Amino acid sequence: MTVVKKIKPYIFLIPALVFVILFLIYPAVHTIIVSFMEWNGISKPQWIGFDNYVHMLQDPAFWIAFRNTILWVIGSILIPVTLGLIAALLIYMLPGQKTIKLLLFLPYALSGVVISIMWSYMYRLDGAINGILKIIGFVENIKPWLQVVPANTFAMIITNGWRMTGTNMVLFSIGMQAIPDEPIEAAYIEGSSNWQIMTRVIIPMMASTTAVVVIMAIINGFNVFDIVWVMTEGGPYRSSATLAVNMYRESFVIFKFGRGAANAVTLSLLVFVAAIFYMRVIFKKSRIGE
Amino acid sequence: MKRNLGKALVVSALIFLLGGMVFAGGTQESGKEEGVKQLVYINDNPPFERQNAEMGKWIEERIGIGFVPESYPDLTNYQTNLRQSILSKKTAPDFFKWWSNYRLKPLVDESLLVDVSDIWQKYFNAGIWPESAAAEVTFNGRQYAVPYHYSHWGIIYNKGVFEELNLDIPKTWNEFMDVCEKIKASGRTPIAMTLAGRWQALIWWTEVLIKTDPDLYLGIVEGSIEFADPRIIKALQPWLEVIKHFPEDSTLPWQEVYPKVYSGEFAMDLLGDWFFTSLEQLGADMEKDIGWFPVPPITAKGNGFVFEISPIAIPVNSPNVEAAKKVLDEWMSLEGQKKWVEIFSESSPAGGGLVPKKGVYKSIEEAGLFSDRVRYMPRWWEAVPVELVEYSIDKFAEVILDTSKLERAMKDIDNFRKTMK
Repeated sequence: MTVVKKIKPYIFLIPALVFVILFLIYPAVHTIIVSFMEWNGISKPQWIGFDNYVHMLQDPAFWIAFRNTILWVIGSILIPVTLGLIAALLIYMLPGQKTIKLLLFLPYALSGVVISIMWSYMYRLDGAINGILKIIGFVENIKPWLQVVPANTFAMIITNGWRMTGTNMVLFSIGMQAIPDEPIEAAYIEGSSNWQIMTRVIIPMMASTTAVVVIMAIINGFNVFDIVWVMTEGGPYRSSATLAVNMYRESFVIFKFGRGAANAVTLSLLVFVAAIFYMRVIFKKSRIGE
Repeated sequence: MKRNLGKALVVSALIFLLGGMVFAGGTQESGKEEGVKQLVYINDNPPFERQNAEMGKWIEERIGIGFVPESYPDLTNYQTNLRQSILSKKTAPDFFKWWSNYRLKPLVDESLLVDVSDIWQKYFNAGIWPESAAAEVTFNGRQYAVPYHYSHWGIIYNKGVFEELNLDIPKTWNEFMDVCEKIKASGRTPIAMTLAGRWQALIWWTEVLIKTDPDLYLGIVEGSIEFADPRIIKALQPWLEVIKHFPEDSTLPWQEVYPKVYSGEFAMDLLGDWFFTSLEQLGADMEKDIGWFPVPPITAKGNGFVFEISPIAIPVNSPNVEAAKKVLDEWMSLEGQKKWVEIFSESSPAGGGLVPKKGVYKSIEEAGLFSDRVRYMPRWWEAVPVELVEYSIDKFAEVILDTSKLERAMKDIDNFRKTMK
């Protein structure tokens, strides 16, 4: 009877465990093993040690993709997180919250492919962006933006910013609603200005929400694929590729699955290290704050 | 508690079942060989769905076994799924379209394709197919696919633009450049081009080299001549002139490029004659609206023509190998090829050269494409290993966007080729 009692909790874990093993641990281990193989998907895989990693590190396209991925991570934090926070703060203080929230959140409801196609049209030579530039007198600056290096990467980062700002705004808004009224009222009574309340009370009290939003932005920045693949396929001449695009290209365009796996492992390690580093910094800060 | 425990066990059992289903993906038995009447032809050509279905019905009427096409629009997905599905008897299609030469080789190397040399031999012996037509699907003297189509590359142009500007068909390279200048002066884009699909970057590089000296091109294909060889750099100078006549915006998707050829916004496009079908589907009259002429030679040696062959192969794991072979045998027969030319409005090298007897197709026949005067050159896309194709098309794109990078790009391709296994 006691044995059954002891086993029971573990039985309840089985469904989750099976899912984790089947869809997380098995593919991850398989990918790591494949990264040490030469395999085109139809031949017998051959063990080649670290050759795929050596090739990857010697490939100039990897470093271009690495640079672009870092730009994406920075851009994913700077644009949608900052704008999301500003939007949440403004909405917090302004009337008509629901409509503005809905409008800002709407892009997130659209699929990445739809957004990418839409913005591709806007960046074309005869697109809306150049139309605006023409109207405001910047005729000299009219360009097919997705063809210009490195403007194409920045253009796609802006597209992603437009897509993600609303989500971050909603997360920040939820964080703000969780702030108790007392500290804000106390600050008003002490004679603090709106700016001081915002920077000294509201933003510090949203540290945990900010941590979640930033970590999501970092992970999204590292993993970006859909927007880049639909808008430029990483081109022209791989100038706008990211590590995720390189991984896809090596695996499903050139059919070098070993190299694709090496890219995947490297990308996963980068995301893991960046996330751990950021979380450690944040938790260390919050402990100091306590 | 007991009920909860029971639920947990039931959920676990369901998950195991689900897992089993995932790993056993595609366990349905495909058609059985005995008495099979309808096969499935997997391909990446949704625009030709109607024509393929018509061909399938026609063959069924002739031999009692037909096929229905199943088309996939996304190239990368198609390649990936097909490569996986042919590995197992449970998932392999009856037969499928693929690419020739280096794109076909990995499948042959892994013994995944049925040897169809007997079908070819029958038609070689009957004098219906020239042996040269099998070159791109022959490995170690055996054939592993039959041709779906042969496509000849030439300039497809908007007749309205030529008439409006009073332009004649250019016979020499200088005349061709002159035509480009006049079209440009009229405010139109002389030559269509997009880099959005990437592969289009190889079109004019290849053509210019072949129209200068086909042996230089073959030397590069075989690896006996380097890309940065001064002869190549010199031969590619006309390419840099052509680039000046491309659209300023090279990011347009392909689906938007060819309607612009039909509308006349882009006056000319260098492509295989499969492009006719796309234009016809837009409503173009292939007699009145669209014309065709070969790219004029740049030197006296430049008598080459790019051709591409898209082959059809049978996986060894096909559930209906014998039935599929009968269908492909009928497909390759003279009657089959005549029907194919009629349905698809494309040309075939069978029977000494079959060309649709209407409109624009006459120009192809008049260009003597089936005569001994021309040399067929394999398309770069299939002629060298995939890895080199992929690397080089990015470098060609770099040159298209900045012609000053020609020599640097060619050196880069040479260096890349040296690192290839």
